[in-house]
Amino acid sequence: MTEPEIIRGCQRGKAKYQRELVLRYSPLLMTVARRYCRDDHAARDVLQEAFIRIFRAIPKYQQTGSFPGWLRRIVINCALQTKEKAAYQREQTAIEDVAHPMVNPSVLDRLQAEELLDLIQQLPENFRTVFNLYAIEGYRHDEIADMLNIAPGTSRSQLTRARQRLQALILQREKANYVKRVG
Amino acid sequence: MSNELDNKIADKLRSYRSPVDAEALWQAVQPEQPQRPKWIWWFGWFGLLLLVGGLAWWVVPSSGEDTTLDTSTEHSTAVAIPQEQEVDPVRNPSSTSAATSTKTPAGATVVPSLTPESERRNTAPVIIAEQTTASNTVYAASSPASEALATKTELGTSSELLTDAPATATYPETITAITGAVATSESGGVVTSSLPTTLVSNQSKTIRNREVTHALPSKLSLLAYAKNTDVPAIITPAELPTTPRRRTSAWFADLRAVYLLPQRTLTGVDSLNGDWIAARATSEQTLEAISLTGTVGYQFRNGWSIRTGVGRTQLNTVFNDTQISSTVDSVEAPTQLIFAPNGAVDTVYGMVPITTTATRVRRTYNQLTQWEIPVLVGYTQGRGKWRWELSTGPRFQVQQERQGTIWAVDNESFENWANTNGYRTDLSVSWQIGGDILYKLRPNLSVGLNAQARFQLNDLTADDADFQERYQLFGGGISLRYGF
Repeated sequence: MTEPEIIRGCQRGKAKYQRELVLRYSPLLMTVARRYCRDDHAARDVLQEAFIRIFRAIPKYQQTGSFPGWLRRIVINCALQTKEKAAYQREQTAIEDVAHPMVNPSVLDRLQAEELLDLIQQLPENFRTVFNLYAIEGYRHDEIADMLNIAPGTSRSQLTRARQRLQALILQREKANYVKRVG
Repeated sequence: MSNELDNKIADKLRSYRSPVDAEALWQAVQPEQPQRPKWIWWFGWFGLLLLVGGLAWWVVPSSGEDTTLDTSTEHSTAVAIPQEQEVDPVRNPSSTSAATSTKTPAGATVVPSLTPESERRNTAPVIIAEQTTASNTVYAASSPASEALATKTELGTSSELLTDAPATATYPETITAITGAVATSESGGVVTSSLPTTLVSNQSKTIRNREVTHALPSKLSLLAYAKNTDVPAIITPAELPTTPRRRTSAWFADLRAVYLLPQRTLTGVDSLNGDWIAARATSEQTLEAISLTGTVGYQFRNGWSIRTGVGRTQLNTVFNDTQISSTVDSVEAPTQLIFAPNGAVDTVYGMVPITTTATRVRRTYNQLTQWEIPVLVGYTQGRGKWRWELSTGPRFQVQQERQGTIWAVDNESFENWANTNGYRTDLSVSWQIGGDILYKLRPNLSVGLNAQARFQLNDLTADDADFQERYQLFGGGISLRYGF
């Protein structure tokens, strides 16, 4: 079953194609949801809500651009709106708590994707969101500012702090792994 | 450095697929599919039933009806054969009688059958033997169709058996008695006997059973005795608590059988020169139509109702009766052997033909079978246990015309005309108007009489001819209605 067939089947409301859409793309979209959520439980909620929106919106989908990109965008929007609805408690991260480590990028080669996701989920909510949107999704700061209804400068500062925090978390994880390996 | 870190993280995570229970997720997010109304399934089942029934009817071949109107048995007396006549066994090697003559120990001469063996058909076993002890004369009859029977006859005619063997008289199953006297005459030492001139068929005894009647009390009462009272209390059934009446629902089932008289309109018959349809149109008699219909309906509170179901109507038309008279049985018997006092056969009286002529009528049906889906709207009013109902609506029909079998030219076999060009299947619609009178037997069960008329809205048309026919049906019948 090819991607265009799945799209056309979902647009006709056929359950068989809708099921295939979920089975095929849910692992990829789950990764996206996990990056924006504090834990996997919240990520599953976001993903569930995202698929409901996908089924609702797919009849209007024009087959231009990447279909996985369109799906990813819906998941991101869903995650962001869920965050707003939940009126989550903003983790007040003191600037003084943020260390300024410098991590060699080669360290990432030793980290598994699951470990990396776990570390990203440990970032404060606002840092995590800005980092994901900028570093992974590729949005610019002004776009992020529009999406999150914040100032572009805020986006920049939060990105910087997110990077620093993530590097600190990576170093902590590396130390723990080193201790495990050495003994 | 940061950009490099970002890129490495993005590369790692962009293509990564997290483990997720996709099936559970699908169960949680699958949109509700639009549910088809249940009546669609019922309609589908009706359609399937219709299809299966139609196929079954299609497969079952039609056949004509063969009615025996009259069967008469004629019997002629014996014809005396001169004693000097001898049998040439060479000329009649197949003759049973000839074979018998060779086995007769007393040298009896048996005249062979006058009818060639090839012409003997369906001969029933006949053995007739009768002894007259005083004159030592044997009267025997035999069927030449069976050699074994002829042997029995020979034994019966043997003079050695006269004192021991009881006389026997065996006829075909349908001949149970012989009436009339056996004429015996003696002349010059030769005793001749002749058969009675009449054979009476199908005598039977009637055994009448004694009628037994059981009388039951018309009313039953229940006596109940109360404790500590001098006078026993009598409780009648009317005082007992009654079972609450079952309240019927608005749904009901209706089953009805209707006898209808068709009025047929034929057009374009002349276009079928010599065709079988033209022949049918000139010789066919329209007889009847019988319809069975089962419906399920809903009765609204305001008296209106709607019902639908499945019906089957069969129109039987018939050709002019073909009357056929033929000899269906012929028995060359009995043969009379006259024995001389010394045991030798003195005279042989030859063949006594028994012929049975049957007159049969071949009735060839032309069947028009309709499977129908009626959709009827009715209005019901009533008082007490009586109700009347007027109903109207279309009957959607699948019609199949079956031209049955007819006698072939030889009157012995049938020709099946079901595969001629008149074998048609059509879709059609008729409009029904009818009325019912219903009587409520029980709260949920009614019987009724109905009258109805059906007007066919379109013609039945053969594919390759201008011939058209249309039937209007008028009739009445009985109905049974059950409220759920």
